[in-house]
Amino acid sequence: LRTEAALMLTFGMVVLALATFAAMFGFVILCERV
Amino acid sequence: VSTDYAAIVITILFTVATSTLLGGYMYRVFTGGRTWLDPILGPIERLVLRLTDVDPADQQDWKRYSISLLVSNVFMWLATWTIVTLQQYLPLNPDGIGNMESTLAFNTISSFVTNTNLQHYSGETGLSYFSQMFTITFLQFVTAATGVAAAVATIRGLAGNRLTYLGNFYVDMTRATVRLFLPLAVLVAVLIMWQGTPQTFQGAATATTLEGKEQKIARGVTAGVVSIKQLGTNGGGYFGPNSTHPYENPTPLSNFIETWSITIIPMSMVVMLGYMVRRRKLAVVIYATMLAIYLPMVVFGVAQEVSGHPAITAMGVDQSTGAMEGKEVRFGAALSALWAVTTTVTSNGSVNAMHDSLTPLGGLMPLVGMWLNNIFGGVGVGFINMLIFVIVAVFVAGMMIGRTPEFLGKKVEAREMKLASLALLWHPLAILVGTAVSCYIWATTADPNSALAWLKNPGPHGFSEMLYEFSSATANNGSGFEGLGDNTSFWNISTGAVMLLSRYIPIIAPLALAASLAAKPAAPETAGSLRVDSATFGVTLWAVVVILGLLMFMPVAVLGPIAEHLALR
Repeated sequence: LRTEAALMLTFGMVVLALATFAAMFGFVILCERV
Repeated sequence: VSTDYAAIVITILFTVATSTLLGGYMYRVFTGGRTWLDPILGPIERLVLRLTDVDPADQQDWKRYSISLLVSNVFMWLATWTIVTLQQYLPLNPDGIGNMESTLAFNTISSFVTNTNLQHYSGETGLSYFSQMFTITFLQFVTAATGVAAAVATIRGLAGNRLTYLGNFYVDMTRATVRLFLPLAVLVAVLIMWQGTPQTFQGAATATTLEGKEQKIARGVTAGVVSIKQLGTNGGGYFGPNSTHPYENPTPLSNFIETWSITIIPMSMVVMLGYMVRRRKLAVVIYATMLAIYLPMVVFGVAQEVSGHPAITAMGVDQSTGAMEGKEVRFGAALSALWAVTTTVTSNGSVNAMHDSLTPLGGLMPLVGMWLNNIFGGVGVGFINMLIFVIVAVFVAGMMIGRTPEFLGKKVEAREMKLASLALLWHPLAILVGTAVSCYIWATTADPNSALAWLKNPGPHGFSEMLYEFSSATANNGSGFEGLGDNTSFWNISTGAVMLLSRYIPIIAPLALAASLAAKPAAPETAGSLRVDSATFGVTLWAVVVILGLLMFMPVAVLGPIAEHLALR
């Protein structure tokens, strides 16, 4: 169970980083439309 | 102490003098001019571009430039995160260091990809030599180069006339890495190795103490990390105590070299601006404005530390050498205060003394440096931050005299002001909201043994510790006030996300702004134009920076360092 939780957390951290980068790609579009 | 004062004056004068030379070199590098290092560095640059299949003739508009910057950073994040997460199974790990924990890896990689280098780990126990070389050192080169590339593209936009393309991100980043950071880093690494900094693949040394016990003394590829951590306004130290450690910063001479390394490139960026926009006087005005904030901060910070800490004075301890708690005897109070101000006005974040031990008002100076974040600032990004204030100053001055605001012959209109506001407002928003949330969580945590009870020193000082952490993350600075239990899920995740957002918002919005200005035709200057290369504009810019800084951060300064100072009286 502990290994599973650690893997989930690891996966969650990668998703968080990618989501933050995705938000920045969105910010490029926002700046274009301002 | 008088020797220390002389050392401060010499350090600043030498850095200013050499920045005029390096600024000229950087101008030639980024405009395709010839330099005396071309025979050595030219082939390396061409090889990198050929291997990465980059066509130097392929020009990018601001949007493609920004997307290239983001894409490269996403891949860097994933690659280096994989290394630290699996370092136990990778080579060059003589001390058998384990894999990095998930939230700490998120924080560490977000920190180094964003040129922040906030460290919630200790290098000697948390990273293998492989990670130090291929994650820490690699990112300290390429993220600094990313900042320089963004600034160069922004300056091209300012200099442009009906211009669409700002250059090629990959070419600019490669050029900054190979032609700027590589030669300077080799030079600084050799100089500090001469002073005693180690550079070795051997594992920790073992020594027998006078008590007959065995002691492990960490060492490794230190000089290579330290040189680029200083030059790239990175700040991520090889060892946990950063440049207070006798291996990272062994002597007063190495301290001089490392202090010079912090500001030399940010100062040279402003000189390069003057060459690139063909307005040397504008560069002088911006440089002088930055100095007119930096120098009073140095004087005030040094005066505070040299005077001693009021609480220690109250204990009857002799402080004739200044407030020395948390400082290194080989540097002294004055040179530690110079470093503290210098490392935070630029977004470096390395330390040669513990900032948590600074006097309350001495500790306010690093906070002010990070709040403004544009007094020379991080390599590239510091200039970009100042550009935002320049646009605001132009707008304010234009409104005051009843004319359409213009910058370098281009009208500053609603679109430019909206983009400037986006970049400007993110900074206080992230710091103040982040601090407020952390205060709330700490204050509502009843269990003193909980990971959420992260303060060891509550009251105004504890508030300053949390404020400092978010200021450091948002300013992409990376220094720590310490005293804060920050290697926990909350701090790792919250500051990790803040670092990522605070890196790219203040780069993308100004790139769009510069491109917007670049696309406009430049109107010839007339007697009615607002002259930005005048002393009057310099004073206006100075006032705009100071007043906006006060408006944004005075309340938290009062709650933290100022309240602590008054409580000690």
